[in-house]
Amino acid sequence: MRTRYVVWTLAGVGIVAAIASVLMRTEGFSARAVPTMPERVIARAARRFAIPTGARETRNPVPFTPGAWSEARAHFADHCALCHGNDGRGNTEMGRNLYPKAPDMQLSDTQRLSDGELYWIIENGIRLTGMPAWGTGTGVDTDTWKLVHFIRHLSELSEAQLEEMEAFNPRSPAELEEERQDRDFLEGKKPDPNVQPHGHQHKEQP
Amino acid sequence: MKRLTTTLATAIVLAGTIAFAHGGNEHVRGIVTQISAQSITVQTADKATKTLALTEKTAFRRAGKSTNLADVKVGDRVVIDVPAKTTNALLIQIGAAKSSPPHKD
Repeated sequence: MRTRYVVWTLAGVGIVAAIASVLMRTEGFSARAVPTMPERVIARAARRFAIPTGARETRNPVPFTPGAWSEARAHFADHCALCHGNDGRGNTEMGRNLYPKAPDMQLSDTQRLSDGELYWIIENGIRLTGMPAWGTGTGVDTDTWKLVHFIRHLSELSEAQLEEMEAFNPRSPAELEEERQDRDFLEGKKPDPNVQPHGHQHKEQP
Repeated sequence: MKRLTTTLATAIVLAGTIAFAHGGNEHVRGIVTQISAQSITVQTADKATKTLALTEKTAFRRAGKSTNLADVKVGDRVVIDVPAKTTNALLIQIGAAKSSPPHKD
C-alpha cells in the first residue's frame, strides 16, 4: 500500500514537472517576466541567509550631515542610478528589465532592512541578480555608509536635488552628442554639418 | 553627386530635429505651434506636426530650472521627452532663444 502511494506521488510530481518543462520550453525564459511569488519568497530568504548576523546588526558609523547627504547623492547618481533611478524607485530602462527588477527602494521591502544589511548588500552584491558587489572586501567604506544614509532619506529628495543629480548620471558619447544637439536646438543654433547623426537610436518615432 | 549631397544634408538637418530614443524615451525637437492645458503641438524641421498630451506628470524646464506650463509660448523651441509607446510629454525643455512662429502651409 505504501509503495503504491509513493509510486503515485512520484508519478504526479513527474507529470507536473513534465507539463512545467513543456510550458517553459514553449514560452522560454524572458527577463521581462515578473518573478513568481515562490521565486520572490525564496530569493528574499536566500538574501537574508547570505548576510552574516554580525553584519546585519552593524550600526552606521558615519553621521548624517548635509555634506554626507550631498556626497551620497552625487555618488548614487554616478554609480547606482542607471538601474535604480535617482529617486531609487527602479523605474529605469535597466531597472525595469532586470530579473528580478530593481526594487522601489522607497518601499518597506527595502526600508525595513537594517543599516547593516543595506551596507552589506552594497558592498557584496546579491547573487543571481543584477546587483553587483561594489566593495573590495577590505575595511570599512565610509562612502558606502553614506549611501545607506541616502537610501534612508530617499523620500525626502526635492525636485531641485533630483535635477542636480542628473548632472552626475553617466552618459554615453552618443547621449552626450544628443544633449549637445538638444542644447544647440534650444539656443537656435544651426546643426553642425560636420556632425553625422549618431547610431544609438533604439527606436524611431513613427 | 548632387543627390548624395542633398541626401546627406537632409539627414543632418533631420538628425537635429526628429525623435531620438534616450533612456527608453523618445526626443522630439520642434517649435511650438499650439499649447493648451491638455496638449502641446510642435512642428519639426521636416515640417511634420506632432501633438503630445500633457499629464500631471509632465515637467517643464527652462535653462535647467523647473518652470510651468505658463512659460511655454507659441514659437518657443522645445525638446520633448516622450516615453516609448506613448504620446505623453514627460519633460518639456524650453529654449532660451525664441523663434518666430512657423508659417502654416
